[in-house]
Amino acid sequence: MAVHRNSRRSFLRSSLLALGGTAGLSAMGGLGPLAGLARADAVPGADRYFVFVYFSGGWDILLGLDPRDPRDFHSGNLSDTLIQPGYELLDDEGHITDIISTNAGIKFGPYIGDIANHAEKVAVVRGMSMETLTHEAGRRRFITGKVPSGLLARGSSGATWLASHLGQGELIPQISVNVESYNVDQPSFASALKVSNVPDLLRSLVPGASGLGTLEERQIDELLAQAALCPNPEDSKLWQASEQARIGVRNMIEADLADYFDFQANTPEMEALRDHYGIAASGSSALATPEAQAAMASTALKRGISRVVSIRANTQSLDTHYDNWTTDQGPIQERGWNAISRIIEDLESSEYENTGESWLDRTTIVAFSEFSRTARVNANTGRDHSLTNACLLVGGGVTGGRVIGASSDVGMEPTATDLATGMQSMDGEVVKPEHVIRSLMVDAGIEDDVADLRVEPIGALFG
Amino acid sequence: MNTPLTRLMVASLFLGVAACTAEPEPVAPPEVIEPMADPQPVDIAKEGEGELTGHPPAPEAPWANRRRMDIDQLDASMQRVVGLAWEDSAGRNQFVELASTLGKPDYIDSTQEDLTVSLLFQKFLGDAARDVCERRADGEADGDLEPLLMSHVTAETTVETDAAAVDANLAELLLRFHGQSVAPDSDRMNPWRWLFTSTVHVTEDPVLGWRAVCVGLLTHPDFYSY
Repeated sequence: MAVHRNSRRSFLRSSLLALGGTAGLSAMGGLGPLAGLARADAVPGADRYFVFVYFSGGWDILLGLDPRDPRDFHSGNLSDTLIQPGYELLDDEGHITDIISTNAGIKFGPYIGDIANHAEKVAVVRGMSMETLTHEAGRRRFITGKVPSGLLARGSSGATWLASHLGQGELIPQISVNVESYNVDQPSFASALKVSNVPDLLRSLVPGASGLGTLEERQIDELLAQAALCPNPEDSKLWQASEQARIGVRNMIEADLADYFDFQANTPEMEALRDHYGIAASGSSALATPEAQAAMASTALKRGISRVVSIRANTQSLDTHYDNWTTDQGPIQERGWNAISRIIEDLESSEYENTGESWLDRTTIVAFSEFSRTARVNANTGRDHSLTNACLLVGGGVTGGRVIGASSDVGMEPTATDLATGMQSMDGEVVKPEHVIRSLMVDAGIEDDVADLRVEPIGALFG
Repeated sequence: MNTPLTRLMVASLFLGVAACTAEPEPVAPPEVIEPMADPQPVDIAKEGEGELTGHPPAPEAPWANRRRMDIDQLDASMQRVVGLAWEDSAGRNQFVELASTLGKPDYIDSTQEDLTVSLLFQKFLGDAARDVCERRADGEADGDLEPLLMSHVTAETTVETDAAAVDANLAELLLRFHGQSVAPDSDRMNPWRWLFTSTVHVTEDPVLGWRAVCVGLLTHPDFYSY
């Protein structure tokens, strides 16, 4: 498999290979110490990759990450528990309407999909507080780990911090498909390549029809590059960002990456990928799906194109205030969970750089939503916004088969958690998105609280 | 050794010297910090006569950070300046088709336009510029469009045949695309004259020279930022 990187790491490796030859390599047992030498300049956590999966609209955690057994929570004690699983109200003939118990001991709601098959690898954080019932505020809170100013995000995204820390070894360090991304204080290279769908990503990777020859293009390049070196442009932040982006575009196109994302190409490799992710072989709408985004995410990582990828798990909103909760909430959520399951399986079955470990061992996947939905069904047979939330993490250094924290059994309120053990504790603290972001940053080797999140990491998340 | 590449390299050296010999744009004056006067007692009984501040505040420097045009402004500006919209073969405006990816708010998930000069902005700005400039230059050369890119020159004019006409045309394009009134003999003309001349050297086609100038002008921050 061809892998695209810009890195000093690659340069060092190729230099060392040229010096030592392959005989030295086999004597040392693969890359072994050579890999260590080649990564001597690498940052802590340099072997970490991240996928953020956003469920848009506010998911119902009773149907997925934080269920309640309808035998224990029913109409007979609703006035005491204030929790109504409501599984019997769901209009999805033939679908299970009960909680799902897994071998790992984690219980899920009926629409967790194939994630139930990966329970021993996932960690679920429950009883989180979003401290908001506004979509934009909740979304931006989770993306940045900071309370927005009104609706305006404050600070850079967690994904941007990670991309910045992990360096510019990859051609496009951060890709974001239909998920917001912010960069207010990190280098330009860490900014996300933001597209609204996979076809647009594909389009951004191919040169536009020009009619100008290579030399003429280089002359235009030269003129713009010289202009950026002049005194006034040198002092302009926008001009310099523009110049970096222009160079980035040139490198991106010259790398000829589009074929990797042409999921409808008639090749055995793409056919296998379509089969695995469930992508139709034709029709542009098939590429605007969660499945196509999932395939894009794993491809971008495995091909060495990106370090951090954000995708959206749903094309239809989960904001189900009315009886669309009975018909839409479950299936939309399940489709997203299944897309994540495909990524897990893809990464798990792919060896990471001849290490004997899988890509999943190096990649942390985070699934989140802006908040969840009320524990009781409203008068319109829907659920409104609830600030209690949950999230799921899998892969990388995440300790699998673990539940961290819990929502209360009365009204599903956030509760305090001991960050070290993951157990509910009156002496602990209520987990918020910033705890999750801080934990990911620490796992990537960023020990200090450089993002000013002002919380401790969740020690129980990582081994 | 007189290959197009060699010629480009020689020309590049020239550009390197010439590009920054432009007349400097006005810069922010250095901040003047006036010494603070000692506090003066104010007789509050003399209402309206007390001097409340020792010195009036220094005027703010006439300076603002550059801002990027939003996508609607860019689309409208391109149409106004080049006379053509960025369209696909079916006549669909590509700025509209790519609105979401280019950061336009949908007022469902987002209410603010992303005005960063991102990779994607640069990519699609470049695509748009190449599309409209090709159609403009070819259309004018074929006589299908009124002269706009080549209003002072013909499709055969070069610096060798009529340097004054080339300079006059460049001056008009700088005014049209960047709103800069530049005298034909100004140093600020040098980079653009270089781009036209070197492209004609390489391609031996003045129309391609004007097309390259058009692309350069549209992808230059002086066009899409203010």
